[in-house]
Amino acid sequence: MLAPEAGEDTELIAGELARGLVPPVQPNPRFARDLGQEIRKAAQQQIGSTTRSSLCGMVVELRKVVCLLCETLIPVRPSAEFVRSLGKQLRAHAADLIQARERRWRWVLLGGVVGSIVSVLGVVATVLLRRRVNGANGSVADAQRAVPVQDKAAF
Amino acid sequence: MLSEAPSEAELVLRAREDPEAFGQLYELYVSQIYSYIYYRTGNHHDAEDLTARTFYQALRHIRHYQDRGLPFSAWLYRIAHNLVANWHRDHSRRQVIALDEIALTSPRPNPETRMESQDEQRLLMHLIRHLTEERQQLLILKFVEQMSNREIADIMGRTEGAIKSLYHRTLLALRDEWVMTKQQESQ
Repeated sequence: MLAPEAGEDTELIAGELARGLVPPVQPNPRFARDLGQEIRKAAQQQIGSTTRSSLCGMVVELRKVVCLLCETLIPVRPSAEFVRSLGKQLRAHAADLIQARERRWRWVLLGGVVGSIVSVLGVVATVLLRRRVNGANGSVADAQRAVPVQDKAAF
Repeated sequence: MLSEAPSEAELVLRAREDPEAFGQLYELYVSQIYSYIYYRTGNHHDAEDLTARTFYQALRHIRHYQDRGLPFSAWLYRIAHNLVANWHRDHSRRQVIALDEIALTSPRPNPETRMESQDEQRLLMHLIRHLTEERQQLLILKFVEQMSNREIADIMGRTEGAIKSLYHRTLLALRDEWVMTKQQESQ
């Protein structure tokens, strides 16, 4: 901070300043330049050191967490007994599933065959029935046609 | 002449009709799936139960499995992930990993240091449990299964870049929580 030069009456200067007779005191350009440089340097140091230290701290903490993760999260293996028994159960279940699927497929196939036979038989039966009905209808019509002739002959 | 071991894709195809092929697939992946489920549930009992359910479900649906160029394990992890999510929903409780049962990777001669390290591991597990499901899954696949980002991306159905970014965010979040908890402890 700039101090008034020795011997100067500060009250007088203040009064004159108030009246606008003396221009406001300007800092020495060299002093201002030097001070600016010092402040800039200090600020750079402060910011730089803060960033560096905090960055350093962050990296150290991060490294610590990663190391701990490596130590903590290690593969856990199931017991051999569990693996063996589950494997056995799964194989048996897989065999059952495959058998059940084959059985189901067999039933579907059998159902299809039976269905086809039944449908063919149905068609045959329908055809035969229709023929029989047609045959019976034909003989009745013949008989009806024959009756009037006999009647005419009777008259 | 030595017969070549069947590829994973061949095994999967055969497993639809052959119980032995499914058994081989099971043996290939049971440890990984168990490990994954163990870290998600926090105890061996539920890990065994859910591992069994994962493979039973896989067996029931293997006929509908479609090979989309992803490893078969990705499909198994998806099933396991869904089962674990349902398990958390049903139980709605948080369990603490019994770290005493987990062997430490490096032997520590000094009991005090060992104790401190175990405390730190417990704290870390506690913090991991409070992460989101996908972050937990990522950490388990990364550290327990030591998978690459590509493999994790396949399993989680994300891009490699997304996994990388999620991994960094997870580590930073974990570090922040760690520092905060440590500071609270020291106060």
